[in-house]
Amino acid sequence: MKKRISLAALALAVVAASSMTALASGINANEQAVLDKLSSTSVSYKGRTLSLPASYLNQAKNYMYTVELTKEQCDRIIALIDEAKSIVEGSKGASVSDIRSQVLTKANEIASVLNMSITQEKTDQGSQYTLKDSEGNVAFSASPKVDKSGKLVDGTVVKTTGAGVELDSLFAVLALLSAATVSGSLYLVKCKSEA
Amino acid sequence: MSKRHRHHHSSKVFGKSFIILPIVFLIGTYLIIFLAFGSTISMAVDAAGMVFSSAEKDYSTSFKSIFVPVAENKEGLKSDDFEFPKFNQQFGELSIPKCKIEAKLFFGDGDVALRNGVGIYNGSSAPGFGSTILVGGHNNTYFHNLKDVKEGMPVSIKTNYGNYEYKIRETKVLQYNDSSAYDIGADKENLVLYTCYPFDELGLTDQRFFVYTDYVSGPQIDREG
Repeated sequence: MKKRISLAALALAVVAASSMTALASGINANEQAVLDKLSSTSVSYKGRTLSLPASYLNQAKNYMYTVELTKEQCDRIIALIDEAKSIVEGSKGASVSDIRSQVLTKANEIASVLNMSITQEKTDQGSQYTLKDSEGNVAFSASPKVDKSGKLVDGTVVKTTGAGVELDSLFAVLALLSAATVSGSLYLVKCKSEA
Repeated sequence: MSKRHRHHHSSKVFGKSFIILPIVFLIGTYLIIFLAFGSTISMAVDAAGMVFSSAEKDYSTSFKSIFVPVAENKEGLKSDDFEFPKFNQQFGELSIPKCKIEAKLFFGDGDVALRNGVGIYNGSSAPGFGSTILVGGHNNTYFHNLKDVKEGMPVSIKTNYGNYEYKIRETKVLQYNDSSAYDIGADKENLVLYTCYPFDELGLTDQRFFVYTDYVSGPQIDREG
């Protein structure tokens, strides 16, 4: 749990630190260094090793295509990656909630400094973390999970794309029952009047 | 009419009015409304969901489009030669002419994107970037005709930086959380389309209809800016 939270927060922090001018595109050498750092970083805890999944790396890269980072910012991001990793790996004995709290606090501080915000929402897939820039653009969104093979994944890759979402079926049935009841009642009234 | 006869008559009328007739009206009305007004009801239900649902949803239909069709593909295209789309921005169009599928293509697959077209999962890739492009769409709107796709059919994607062609290889029905359904980290360009399955089921479903396609043509982007 704390591994997936810390890695998710790490990815959030990286993208938060990427908030810059909106004119640029492409990946410069500084940004590539950040992506290389992200892809090569893994967190070890009690004999298990977790690294960021491709979907997280892609989100960071895709957002970097829309911004431009300076060397200073990238150096800060890389230092932040190392700090976040240290929080988890140096947390022997600390509770999961303490670790999660520390890592998320760090991620929020970075986000607020760079005028970005992190929101957490409870969904059917668990907690979903979304990072938005000052214009409300989503920079990163994921529901961290550890799958059966022990890999960190995003639980919200495949969306609900059906006709029925939440109240669809309920309201459809209620509407039809109403129509049926009204029709039946009218028939009853008609029969009674004939009788 | 005797009292017993009246009671028997009332029972018959009661049975017809409140049991048989409502069932008949229910089935008939359901079929008519679902077939004729399915999408309209969905909109009304979404409106009700704004009031009653506790989950945060974006019901806006407004979005930014950066899509300007490209007349001819450019060779040696680089990622800093064009504007990369942000989340919820339309940057292209997806079509499968043989199934009459035509939809605006968004980057990101949030509510705004899926309401107005089809959306690329922003944890996957974009056309031309040499990896898996995962596109979702609703089965009662833009991806309803996905049920008619066949192996070999062409899929066309036009973006603000180039035009792409893919060819359908196969289709599968899998659970929504089956991670073997796609390879997000693939190093070969491929397009995966998906929607909820069964197509005409009202209500939440765990299954998805996946359409797998292979890259045929379109400019490959130099990722070094």
